[in-house]
Amino acid sequence: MLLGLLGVGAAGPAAALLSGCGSGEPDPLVALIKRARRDAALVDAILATRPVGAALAGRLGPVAEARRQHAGALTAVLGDSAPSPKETAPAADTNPPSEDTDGALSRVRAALDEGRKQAAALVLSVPRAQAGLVGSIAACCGAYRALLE
Amino acid sequence: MSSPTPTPDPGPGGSGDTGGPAPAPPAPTTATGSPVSGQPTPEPEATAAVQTALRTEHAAVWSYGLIAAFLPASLDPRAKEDLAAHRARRDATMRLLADSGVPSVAAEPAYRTPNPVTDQESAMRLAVAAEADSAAAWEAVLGSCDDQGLRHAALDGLSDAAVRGGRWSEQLGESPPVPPFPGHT
Repeated sequence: MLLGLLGVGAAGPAAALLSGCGSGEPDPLVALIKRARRDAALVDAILATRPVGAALAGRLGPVAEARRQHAGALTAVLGDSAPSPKETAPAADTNPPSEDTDGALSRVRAALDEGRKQAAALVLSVPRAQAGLVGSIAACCGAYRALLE
Repeated sequence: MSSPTPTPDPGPGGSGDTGGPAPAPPAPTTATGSPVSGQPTPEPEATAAVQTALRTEHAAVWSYGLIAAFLPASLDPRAKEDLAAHRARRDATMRLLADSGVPSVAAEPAYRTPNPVTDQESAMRLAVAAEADSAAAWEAVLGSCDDQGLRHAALDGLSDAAVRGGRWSEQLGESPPVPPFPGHT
């Protein structure tokens, strides 16, 4: 009966969203923006590390660009409510990893896993107007994760 | 994305204009008559979106049959796997509609591909196009409903299409292999 949702089914998420309005809680998209920016910074740091970065540029360059675009699109949705880039500056633990390509790929895979899970969880509750974008971001992270296997 | 769905082919006896866009498919069928008291009413927007997704699954199943004919043996397992995945999703989607009392749209007897399929590369491009269409259709389902179960199913359809499309794009050597927003325009 998944298509048969009126009233009760629709009220759940809507009510939850309304209760969040004006309560000072950050929009749930803020966490997505932060993670996307962090992932882009992580991959950029790996790519800037020689020789690992040079070896992985072809595979990881598109990942960094995709995560940057995710952050940009979500920022556009939030407008003034979006976190400033300063707020989401990479933490110290994203220093360039001085490791081999396997270690670097492993870190990116883990980041993409988390990014996919985060967006996939949120897609269940966001308003319809945001569901496609959030789901698409989850799908992009999942697809790159699969390609980096 | 400029990847038109493999569209229903009117065939040699069809109504004419093969140079133009394919004839519009019939409007999605929704349940008719008054809802029985206590039974949920299928939402027209979600139902239409799911029927569109089912059309892309039908088209993908047909497409992979054609694709497989042009692939080397080394890629045959992947084409078979992708075909099986689309069949499974097609069947699950038909069950979903049936559970809501909605008749499923049927597959067309044949489809017109966006470009002629004549060799391995054009076959893989058809796979990429079929996956892009499937991704777009499931993405649209996400924005058509509030139900978590249906959103979950739609995300699965979208995500799986993005993975398969990414693999074929990578095989073609395209960069980026995955669009930043699969299915989303």
